[in-house]
Amino acid sequence: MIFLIANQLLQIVFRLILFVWTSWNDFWTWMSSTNRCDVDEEWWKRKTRGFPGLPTHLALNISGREARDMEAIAEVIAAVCVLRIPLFTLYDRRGYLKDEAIALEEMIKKKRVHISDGMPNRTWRCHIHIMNRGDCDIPHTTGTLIMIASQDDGKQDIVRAAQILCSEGGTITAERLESTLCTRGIRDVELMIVTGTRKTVRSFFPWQIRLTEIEFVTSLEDLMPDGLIRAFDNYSKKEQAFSWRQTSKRDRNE
Amino acid sequence: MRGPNALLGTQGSQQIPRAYPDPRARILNMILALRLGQKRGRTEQSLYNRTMFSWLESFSINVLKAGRIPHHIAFIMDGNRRFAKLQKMPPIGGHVQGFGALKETLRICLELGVKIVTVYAFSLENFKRPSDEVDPLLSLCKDKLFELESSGFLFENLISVRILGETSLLPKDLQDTIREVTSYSSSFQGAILNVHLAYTSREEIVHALQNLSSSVSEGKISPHSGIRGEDIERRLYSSNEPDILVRTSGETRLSDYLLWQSSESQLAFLRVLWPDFSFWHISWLILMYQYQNRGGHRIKSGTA
Repeated sequence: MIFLIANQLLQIVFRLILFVWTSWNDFWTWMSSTNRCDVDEEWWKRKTRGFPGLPTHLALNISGREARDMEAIAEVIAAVCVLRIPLFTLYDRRGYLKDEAIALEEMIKKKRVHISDGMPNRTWRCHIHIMNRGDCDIPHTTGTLIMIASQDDGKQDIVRAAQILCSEGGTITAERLESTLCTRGIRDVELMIVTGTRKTVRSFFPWQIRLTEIEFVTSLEDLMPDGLIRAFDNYSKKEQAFSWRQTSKRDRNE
Repeated sequence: MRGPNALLGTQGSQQIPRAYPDPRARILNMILALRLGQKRGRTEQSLYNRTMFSWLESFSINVLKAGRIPHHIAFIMDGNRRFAKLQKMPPIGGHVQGFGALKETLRICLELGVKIVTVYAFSLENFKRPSDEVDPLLSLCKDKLFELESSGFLFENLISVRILGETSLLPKDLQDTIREVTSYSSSFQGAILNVHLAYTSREEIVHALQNLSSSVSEGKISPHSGIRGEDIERRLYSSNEPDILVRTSGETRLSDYLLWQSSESQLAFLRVLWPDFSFWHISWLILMYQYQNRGGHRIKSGTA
């Protein structure tokens, strides 16, 4: 009984410490945060100029609650397009973003990001592709490819590939499996940013996060814009990321 | 075979200096580790024979046990070589210290009531390292596995050891020791220690698919309608999903470890080097787990 009471007290103290710590962090972030009105294309380029390299495949893994905040998501996409990151995977476990892709596209257009309409001679644009278990035809694009995914595209894709490989017969190798997945030809995720209080990958593509750097942020609100810069800064410091990028040769969006 | 004495350059109960890249951990350990009758730090004696917790640790264990305890914790034991570098000792010395940390972690987890502990001991990628680094490491693996059995540690705590991975790639003497230790402990039901040797998660998934393909060839499963996620999970080296996956040394990636099984696990990336991993780090992890799983917000726990 005594230990149970002590445990409850410890939990209260722990929550108090967490509350004070997060409040302090939030206050400090607010004090040092960039005025969002100042954030434009030049601002992003100036902030990232000192980084040796940005990830070529960035993933944003958001909670179900935050998947409804289209404006915040569109802001992240606009930044990714400005920074000319070739691949961006937008993931929410339940697939809410897949259902609301049209609304998301409208919100992105409001951010003055050009959505690819197949017209030639356009400068950097972004192209939205909704991942679907039945459709593995990922388009080529000269801009940023935004892949919207859910948990059906992770383990289920491996199951689908297993069905194909088992019916074909022959020895199953890593290369055969990889060439059967819907993400064939797409480089693995280099940096994944996970939002929310729970530090879990939420069934994100298990095959593609072998060497992925994982950053946790409390919320989508905290991510823009300083949180994203911090994530890129941490990523650029990881020496392993550079040696891996130099040896990786798979990228359909070169 | 030289024992750890020669490797560490110490004898008897002479203290082994600890690396404290994190001064906060050092101060906390010094203030709180009031071990009655024991010297501070991991002495050679305490590495292998420590059986008592301090009064504060015992009290803390009982307090933590009053809340929810994770069923399965997985560890990526990173930082041994960095620890050795900081201590100006050969790399193998860092691994010896790392084994001490593993043994202590295991004892603490058992005391807390954690039923499954999984550790990443040796990756398939590690074979690419120079042989003068790999051979002593595998030899140390063999010695420590044998020591776990011969010291009575497994018997006293009823720990069943499972070695998971492409063990056919390991040296023959290590394979023999693995067979001996796993058969010796196979009937123990106190807790399970999964040790991943010669392992990567991708290889594990491919291995599971190869098994699945054999079942399909034998007509046991229909390739299109019969294959589900559970069929792949059953054929993995271990289908236990960790409640918490811990990586030490400050790295924030999974490094091809338990990619399938950790899809819903609570991840913890700690800056402490593995040889410095201590009781208080585990306590912090358990507290975080209890906080995340308070009330009705329960993260899916591992299944036996």
